[in-house]
Amino acid sequence: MSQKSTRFKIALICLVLLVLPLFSMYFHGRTERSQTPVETVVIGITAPGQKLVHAVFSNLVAAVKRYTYLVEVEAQNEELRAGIEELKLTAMKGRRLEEENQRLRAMLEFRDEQKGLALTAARVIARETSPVFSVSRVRLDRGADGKVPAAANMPVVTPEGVVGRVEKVAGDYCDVMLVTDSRSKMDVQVAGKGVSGLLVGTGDGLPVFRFPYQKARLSKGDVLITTGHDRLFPKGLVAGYLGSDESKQVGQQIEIPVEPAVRFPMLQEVFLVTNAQDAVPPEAVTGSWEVTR
Amino acid sequence: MLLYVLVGYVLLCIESPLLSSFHVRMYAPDPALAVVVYAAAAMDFLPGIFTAFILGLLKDGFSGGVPLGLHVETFVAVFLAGAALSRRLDYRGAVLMALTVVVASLASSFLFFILSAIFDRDFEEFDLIFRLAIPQALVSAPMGPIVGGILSFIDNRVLQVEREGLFR
Repeated sequence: MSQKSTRFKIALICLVLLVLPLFSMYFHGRTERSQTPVETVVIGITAPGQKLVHAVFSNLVAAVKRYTYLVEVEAQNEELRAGIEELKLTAMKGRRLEEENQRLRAMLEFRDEQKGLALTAARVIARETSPVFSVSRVRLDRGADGKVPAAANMPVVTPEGVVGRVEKVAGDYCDVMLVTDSRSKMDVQVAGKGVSGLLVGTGDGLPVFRFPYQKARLSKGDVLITTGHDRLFPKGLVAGYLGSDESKQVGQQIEIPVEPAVRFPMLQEVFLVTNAQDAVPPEAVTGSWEVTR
Repeated sequence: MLLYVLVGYVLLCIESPLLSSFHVRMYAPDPALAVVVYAAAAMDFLPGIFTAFILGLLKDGFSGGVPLGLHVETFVAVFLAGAALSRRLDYRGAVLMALTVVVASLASSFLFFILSAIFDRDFEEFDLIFRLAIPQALVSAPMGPIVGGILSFIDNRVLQVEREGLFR
């Protein structure tokens, strides 16, 4: 009996649980109706869970997206860095080429201007620096064996002015004694002022313009040009600029420091003047100044 | 019973945002249906049928737009069929569970169609139910063994705790 009643109860519960949703559907399936309390309760139970999980997933997905974005950005960053380095290198090469181009153009113009001089281009391959870090000597890639051989005492010039003269020639190379060398002496005059003298190297600093005492208004920046009287350097080349308004009396002579026309640390290409002796004007053979060869 | 309802609730909570994230809302697996199928084989009749009823209500709440009771009716019917089947065949193994979920999903789609046709006056996408019935059954199939594994694990843990106490 009890088993029968249990079965009946179960059947009844099944029936109720099957029929109840049908009524609910009938009621809730209507097109125009307001939200029922049952719906409110069901939504009230399900919405918080959905909201919570949605928030967690959204944050998780956002974090993953952010991470992958950052990874992409990092890779992109590396790529851009490499690109920038490459561009910097290219720009540097471009600047170097531009500078070289300008130097070579200036040299070509100089060669055209100096029609009387036989100029042979040479490249500086080494610089010797003194203990005070100034360039004391440079080596060129021209020697005794070339098509136009270098020889001792050949003037070395650039479009800016005189560099010095060839000191030694060995094989394919030659060493240049700069105008700053203590053994260097050059007959020069102040352009437009008529004051002549010697440009003498000091070895450990700026060369000096040494001239016999005379009344002359010399000032800083005045151009010193070669006279050709020393039979070494052709006439009319810029040797340097007076570096000071102040002069110093040494015995019967006056000395003024001179800024060389050429910046030796930047020197790249030069000209060897191979016919300097021929270019020296005849009136310059004798001079009151002794020049050490 | 509460644990099954809780697992079903959690799975329903996870389902919606998960599917949105992976853009597969159309072919959504039905984890609650898998819970009902497993409950039919693993639980006593009365707690099981109430579990199916509550899960149906929750599913209606999560679905939104369907008349309240649609999933309740479907889940109760699936539970009754599952309970009848489990008397002859223990389908709690992985393969049988997956197959049973496929059949249950197809049956629930059919019931969904019938009940929507009768009770939902706004519903017009009847062809969609038939188009999605088989894909949905197939994507729901793996949920059977997964949900079965979870519930089986929970059952075993509960039994263990009951036998040995919480702080053994």
